[in-house]
Amino acid sequence: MADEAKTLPLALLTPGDAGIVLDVAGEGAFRRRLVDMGFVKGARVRVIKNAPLMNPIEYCIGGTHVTLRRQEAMRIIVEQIPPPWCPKEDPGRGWWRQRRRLGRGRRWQRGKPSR
Amino acid sequence: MAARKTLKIALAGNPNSGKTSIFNHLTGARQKVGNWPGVTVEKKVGKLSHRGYDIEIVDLPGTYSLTAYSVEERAARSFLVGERPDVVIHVVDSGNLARNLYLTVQLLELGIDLVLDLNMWDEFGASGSTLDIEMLHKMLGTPIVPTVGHRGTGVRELIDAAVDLAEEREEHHRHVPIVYGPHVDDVLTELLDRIKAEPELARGYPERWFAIKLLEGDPEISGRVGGKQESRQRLLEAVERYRRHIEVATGSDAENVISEGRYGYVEGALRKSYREEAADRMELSRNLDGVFTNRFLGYPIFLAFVWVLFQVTFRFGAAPMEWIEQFVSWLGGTLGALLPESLLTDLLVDGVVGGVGSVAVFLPNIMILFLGVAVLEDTGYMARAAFLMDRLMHALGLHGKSFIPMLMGFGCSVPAILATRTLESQRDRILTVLLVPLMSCSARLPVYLLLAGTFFAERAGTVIFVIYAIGIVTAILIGRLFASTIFRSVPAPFVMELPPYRLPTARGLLIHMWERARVYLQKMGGVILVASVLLWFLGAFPRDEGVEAAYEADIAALMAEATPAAVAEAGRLEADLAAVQIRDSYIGRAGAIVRPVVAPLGFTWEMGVGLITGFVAKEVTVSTLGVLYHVEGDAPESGRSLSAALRDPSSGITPLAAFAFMVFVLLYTPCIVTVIAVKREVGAPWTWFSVGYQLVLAWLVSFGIYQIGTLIGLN
Repeated sequence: MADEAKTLPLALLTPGDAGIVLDVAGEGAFRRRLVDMGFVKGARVRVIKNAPLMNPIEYCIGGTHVTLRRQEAMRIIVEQIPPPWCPKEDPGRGWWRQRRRLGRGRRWQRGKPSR
Repeated sequence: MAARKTLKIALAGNPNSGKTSIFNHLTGARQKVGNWPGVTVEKKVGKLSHRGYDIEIVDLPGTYSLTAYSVEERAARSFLVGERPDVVIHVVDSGNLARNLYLTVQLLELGIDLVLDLNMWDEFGASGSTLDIEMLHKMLGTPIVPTVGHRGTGVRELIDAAVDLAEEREEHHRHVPIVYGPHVDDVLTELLDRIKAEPELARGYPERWFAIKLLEGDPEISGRVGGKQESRQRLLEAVERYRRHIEVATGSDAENVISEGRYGYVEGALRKSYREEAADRMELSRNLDGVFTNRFLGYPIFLAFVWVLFQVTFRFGAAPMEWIEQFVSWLGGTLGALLPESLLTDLLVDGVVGGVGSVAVFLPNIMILFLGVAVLEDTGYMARAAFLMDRLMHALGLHGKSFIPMLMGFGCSVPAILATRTLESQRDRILTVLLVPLMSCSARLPVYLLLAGTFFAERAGTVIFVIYAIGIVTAILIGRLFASTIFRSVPAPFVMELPPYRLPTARGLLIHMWERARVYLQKMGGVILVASVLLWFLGAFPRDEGVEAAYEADIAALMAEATPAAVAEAGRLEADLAAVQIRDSYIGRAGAIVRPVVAPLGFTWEMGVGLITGFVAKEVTVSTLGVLYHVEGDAPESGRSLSAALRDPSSGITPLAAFAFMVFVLLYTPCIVTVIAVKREVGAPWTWFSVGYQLVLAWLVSFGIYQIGTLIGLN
């Protein structure tokens, strides 16, 4: 049991946890909307925080932050994976590293002909 | 210059992709705001000239997808399919490629000429991720242009690329067929063959897209299959079979498999071209969220923002409002003095100037409020506010974002109703619009002040507080009732994006504000003018010249005497005349008709007339009561004597009836401007419903209060 992947509804993860979407239960417009926001099979999702009244919940999926109500998140089945896959909160990233990355990223803009 | 070539370009994209700033940079202030046919989703059209083309740019509603589930998506889709723009520019948030390209794939399915705009390219660069644009171009087959929307960088190249594409489609563009995986692709080919064999089935829709939509079980498209009865039948049966086949083969329904196919396609394209530096989002955004949605600080900060918004709107708005009021009354007075005394002058002064004035007076409020709302929206704070408030608002069946309009309702229902635009779902918008008038607006306060002051003297403050509380409690109950009955069938998941915080541009904010102000003036102005002229007519006609002349003669005679007693008598006669005029007018007669309706509530017929004129604005109720109870001059200035007249037992008003009257004023339709605003936002049927339910509700609650109060001996 211990090695087996843990399958549970997304709502039961706590902030900081991460998971991979296995299935979205529900019909029509509801599921459609979730799929549009990136909740598809295989997508990685991380719990960011609960609202002060514990509902709704903020998630990070595919680079965006979206909110879901708890009862809606109950309908998304995920497989829990070890956090964090959004290594943003990694304390090893200092401002100087960000600066360096900024410089590298800008090469692209210089490469494009400006107006 | 006769034969200038024209192009029609549509802007598509996710919400929060910076589409609006691209649109503003392309078209400047040359924008026209209207509604999409049949729905109240805003449609913006702009014009520009470029390389000898007159280009019309249509800003499609921001959508995540092109299904038929939301009004915005349907509007965007029917425009793309029906009007076939020459080129579609898809504005993409470069920081969120996977989800944005999901829409790209759907646009490609439509077989339209597409330019991909990688917006927010500066932020993408800063994130450290890299993208091989050449490779992505090869994979998707569309021209790709990076831009920075808020600064306008790359916008020229973008429009160049679009014009290039329109001129020489072949060279830049090839249609890449999207693959959805073996199960779907086989079935799709078969279905496509069937449709190609009988092209009339697709009714001119792009065939491949049509086939995909059928497989997805799209409700709109399935109902649109053309051709003869039997071949239509055969096609739909085949589609059912294919859908079942996909389900059996994959263990998931066809719609799901196709969406997964789209994401798979996007992933494939990105795998070769994109390297993600797994930075989640900007440091600043994360830190700000740590404060703004903090468990302890979140609510106090939110309340502080709202308090400031409220104060700024109604306090800073007060001064210009007064100037406009003064200007209008000066204009009315001057016109009245200049023009000969006649019905036409009356119409001009009371109907036209008064009516337009009543609209113009709200303009400062509207502009300030919308500037504030634009700031909240453009910075990204509005989404956080909704995040905080959703738990509470959900209890009344509303969305977190409904909070701001509801709160503004305490100031004035009109801007509050216009503010419901920020709600994405039609259901939430309608429900909020229905509930906003129950928040007691400031125009109702004079009525409460008069009646509570008259009948409850030292307990007036408590009584007014109770009235406000009744409004809030009623809103909660009605909200729950509507949410569980009329709106039950429509589930609205709270899937909302929390975009990174951004600094809004002054240009964007001003355009935002100006749009609102213009819409308000144009749409409201016209209807209000007609309505106020009509109401003036109903209040002024029919006229009994004989009676009037007799009064006038008496007054003139008394004035000629010029003794203090005679002048006082003349004043009394003048008040009498005014009362007789309004009593005999159509509105007065309506008062007689409504009398049996309002009698069970303990109201006098004068109060009934006051309720009718209250449709114009609630302040008018007070002045009507003043006129009908023979108070000299304008009521507000001589409130004391009106108080006395009302308190006098001969008025026939008991404290209980006065309380029931206040509740009625609280609950029924606030004013004609509100009705127009409701009509503009949610359409005529809901407007009738809104007016109707409020009248019924007001009557029932007042009836209950008066009758129960009488039973337990409060009368």
